Amino acid sequence: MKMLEITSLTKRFFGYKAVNNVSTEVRKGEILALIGPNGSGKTTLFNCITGFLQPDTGSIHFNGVEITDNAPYKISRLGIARTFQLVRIFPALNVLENMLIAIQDHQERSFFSRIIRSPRVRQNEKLAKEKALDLLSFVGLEDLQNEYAKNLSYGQRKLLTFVLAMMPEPDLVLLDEPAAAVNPTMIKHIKQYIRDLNNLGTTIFLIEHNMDVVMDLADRIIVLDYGSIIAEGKPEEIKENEKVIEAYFGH
Amino acid sequence: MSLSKFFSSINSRLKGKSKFKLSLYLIAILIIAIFLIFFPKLVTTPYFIHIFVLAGMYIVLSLSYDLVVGHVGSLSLAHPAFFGIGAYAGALLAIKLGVPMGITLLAGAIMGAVLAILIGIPSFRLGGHSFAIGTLGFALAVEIIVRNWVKVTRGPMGIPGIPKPVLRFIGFFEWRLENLGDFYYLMLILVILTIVLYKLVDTSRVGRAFRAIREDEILASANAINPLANKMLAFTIGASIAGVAGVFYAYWFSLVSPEIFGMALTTTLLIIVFVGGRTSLRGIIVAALLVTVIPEFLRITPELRLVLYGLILLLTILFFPEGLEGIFQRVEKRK
Repeated sequence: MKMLEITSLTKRFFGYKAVNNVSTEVRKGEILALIGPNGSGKTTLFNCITGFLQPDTGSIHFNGVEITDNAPYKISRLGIARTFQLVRIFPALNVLENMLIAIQDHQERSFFSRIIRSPRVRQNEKLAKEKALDLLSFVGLEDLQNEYAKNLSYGQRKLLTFVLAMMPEPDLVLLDEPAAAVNPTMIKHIKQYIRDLNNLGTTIFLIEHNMDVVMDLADRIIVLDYGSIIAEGKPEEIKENEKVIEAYFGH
Repeated sequence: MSLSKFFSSINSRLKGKSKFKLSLYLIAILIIAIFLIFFPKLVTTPYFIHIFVLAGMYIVLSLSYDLVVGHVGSLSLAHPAFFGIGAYAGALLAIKLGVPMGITLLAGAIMGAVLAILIGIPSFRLGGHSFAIGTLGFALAVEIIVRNWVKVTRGPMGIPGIPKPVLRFIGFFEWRLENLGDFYYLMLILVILTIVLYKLVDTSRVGRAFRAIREDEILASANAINPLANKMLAFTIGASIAGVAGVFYAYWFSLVSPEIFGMALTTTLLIIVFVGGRTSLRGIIVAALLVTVIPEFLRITPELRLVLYGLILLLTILFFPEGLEGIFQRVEKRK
């Protein structure tokens, strides 16, 4: 079943087609990997899906609803979460607060009931805290809940962004290079976390350069080169694909 | 629940502060409260009361300013405009229509809020530094209009003779604000109300969303937070408090003139917020007291005062980026 459907999407930067007529889909429950050489338009595609960039042509549908050109916060509210390639956190807030921010606007949004602390808001806050602590202990960050996020190591920040994205229990998560620049042990952990979450029913769409991670995790792989899809298929098919080998290693 | 359990639950909530420290804290607040209540009876010179009312006004203005600059992190330069418009609105309503003070105060809040919505939506769309310039443009435009719309505002002459107000609550109670002491108590009430509102916002989910936007707007919007709506809320609350402060000012001075729109107020508020420490209630209150009380006692000339302010701001940003709040925290840790 199609969860996210991308139809002939094009994004130009000053005439250069960063994403060129891309049509594809993300199926419910799968782990889909997006690979391709540097500058092939992977992150641009993610930014178009999550509303941070407006595509020039084409459309994006999520669970049958058109989300093309929607504001990022609206897309997030529909159940698409994401992480960023350059690790983003709220540095001057503590780890628990970081986690609570990630869910509060999915629970309720009335300014007035928030300021007067209505029973519903208090109930939500309680639930949010329980969930935050659950997720933090899932990745082993529970002891750091009162630490400022800026004091975390790079690897810890990476884990934090990952559980941050999971806080609202999104239907679809876009992970932009979850295994980049972390040590092999951490990569093993991250792989396991992604698999666990997928087993719990979260659909995952990830960009990754680490081929071991991709081949291990992905149910399907899409390969981008110069903004166009050059191959799409199961990991073993992609490994054998001539075009992919050429795009990565040249002639 | 046994008494000891009750106390230990309070203690854990206070993050390890001892019972002794808690009672010290309460006693300190009590002493300050008693001092503030009897202050006008204790001093003989009205000048000191005047300085305290001024300090109170700066506390109200800088706390409301901090909701915008400190919490959502948008550098607004329009705060004096909301204050000034509140002052003019209060003056005109009181003189020309004889509107009672309860309603002019409310009108100041509404004027501030409405203008903040009108100015905020286009200015916030500009984003970043352009937002600062947009709000500065608004502040300058308001000043020019007030200076030149002589028919209504009497231009540079200002509006004198604002009557001494009476606060009425339908038959229950009537308060004639005749001398400085009365204005002092009204200011005290306004300060307390502002602190309560500030704290309510600051510690709520709204305050948390504000900080998230200040820290990383992109990450906030990837997490379902609508940055524009939250910034508008901060801007509107800030502006309506400034509007109320303006109305108070009009009655207190019984004269409003275009001078109140000057950049000097923005500068002072920025210094208070940054020296106190952004989003820090105690820091901002102490900084507001320092900035108003010290120059008055040292009798520094206004020209030198601005130079001194500039120097303080520079040193704070260089050496104490978290302001007084940072110093308070360091002292607390050492204990």
